[in-house]
Parts: sequence; structure tokens; C-alpha cells
Amino acid sequence: MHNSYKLAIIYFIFFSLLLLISAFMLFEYKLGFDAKSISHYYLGNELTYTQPKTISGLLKVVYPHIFSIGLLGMVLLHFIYFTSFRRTKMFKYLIVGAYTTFFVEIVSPFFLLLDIKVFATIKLISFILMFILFISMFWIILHSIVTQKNQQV
Amino acid sequence: MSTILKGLLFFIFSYLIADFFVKYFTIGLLPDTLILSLYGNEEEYIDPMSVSSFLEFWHVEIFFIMMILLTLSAIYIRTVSNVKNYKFALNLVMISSLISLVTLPLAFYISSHFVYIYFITYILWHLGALQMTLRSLWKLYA
Repeated sequence: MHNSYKLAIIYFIFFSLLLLISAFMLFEYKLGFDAKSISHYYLGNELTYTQPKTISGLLKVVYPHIFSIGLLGMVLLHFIYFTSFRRTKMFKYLIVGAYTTFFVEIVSPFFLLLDIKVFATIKLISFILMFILFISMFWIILHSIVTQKNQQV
Repeated sequence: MSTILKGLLFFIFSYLIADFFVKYFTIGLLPDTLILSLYGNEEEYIDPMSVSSFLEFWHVEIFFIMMILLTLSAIYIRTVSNVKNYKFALNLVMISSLISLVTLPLAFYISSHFVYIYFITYILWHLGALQMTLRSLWKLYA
């Protein structure tokens, strides 16, 4: 692989890191990092005059994320495909685990709207897990670029 | 393959030009209008941008820039990598766009002075990206 591609990938990871920081800040500001505040955000809260979310309101947020999270996951996983990590059994688990986590993170608010309260906790866990998975992917790619200098990525 | 890349480069070029207009008519392109959008103005009854709107704007902005620049850099490296100093434009665009994205929340949360750094780096990365697009197109047509 051309060395400049490695440079472009390193920059891409910096951008992705910035995207995660912005997502973290949005989550912290809007939902908060406990199941109760997540539940209040979606189901409304009389004390804070928060209106419950509607299906259409939820779709406006979920709809662009379905494609963008899938795309970001695909781009990062396809970078990993060019590393030696591809030959490990963990790679398959990473792919399945990542896409499952992304899916659960995206759809869990709909179940919360059906008043299944446990999905507030599931949303929180899947969000944190999604972060851990993304950061692991960054690490695998960066580690591969740094350690395997004149090989594929 | 060349025609596909030419088409994509044309769309990237159009996106970069359109971005100037979108910024001009939304949050503002020049530092003064940007400061007005971020902080508002009591005398002119202009509300400041809410934290929620700002974070959403920043989040979307990062995603679009990273995808545009990943695509553009891949084409640029493929077409122009045999030309001397091609890495300069690549580094310039990537670093200035990263600085512009970092200075935006700094301007919102910390100080309006960061708006000027944002403005300079925003213009810089756009011009650099436009140059990369045109250079790649030139190579494809040569």
C-alpha cells in the first residue's frame, strides 16, 4: 500500500475521534449518562417540563444515523481487513459484535417508547460499548500502521 | 474508472463551492457574522445559538468533512502521487480542516478569538481541497 494512504487513514482516525467526542458531548448534554435521565429524555418528565418524544421525532434522529454509523463501521473494518488482525478469529467477532451493537444502540429508543424501561439501560450500555469498539478499531489500525512499516497498512 | 473518478471529483468540487454559500446563508462565513450567530446580539434581538443546535451542527459537520476528505485524498493519492510535493497539499488540507473543527467548539465555549482561527483554517482547507480536486482532474484529463 502507498505510504500516503496510511497518512490519509491516520487523519481519518483523528476525524473519527473528533466525531466520537462530539457524539459523547451530545449524549451527555441531551440524554445524560444514567438510565433514569435517558428514560426522561425519551418518555418526558413533568418535573423538568420535558415532552415525550414522538415516533416521527425519533425517526428524524435515527434515520441519518442508520446509514452513517453503518458507513463509518464499514470504512474502519475495511481498513482492519488490510492488517494482520484479519487472520485472527477475533476479527469475525469484531465485525458481528460491532454491527450488532450499532443496531441495538440505534433501535433501543423505539422500545423505550413502548414503555419497556429496561431499554434505557440497554441504550446506555450499547452506547458505551459502541465507543469501546470504535476506539479498539482505531487502536488496531494505528498499531498496524506504526508496527508494520513496509507492509500492507 | 477514469470517468467515474472525474464524475465524483466534479461532485466534490460542487460540494466545496456550495459549502461557502451554505455557510454564508446559515451560520455565517465571515468572522463577524459567525460571532453574531454563535453569541447573538441583545441590541438587535438576535438569540445566541443553543448548545443543542451547536453540538448537532458540529457533529454533522465533522462527519461530512471526514467523508469528503477521505474520498478526495484517496483519489488525489491515486492520481497525483507521482508529482513532487503532492503531500504538502494533503497535509495542509487535513491539518487545517482538523484545526477548523477543533476551533469551532473552542469559539463557542471559550472565546470569540477562536472564530478568527476557524475562519482562516476553513478558507485554507477549502482552497486546498479545491486545488486537490482540480489537480486530480487535470491529471485524469492529461
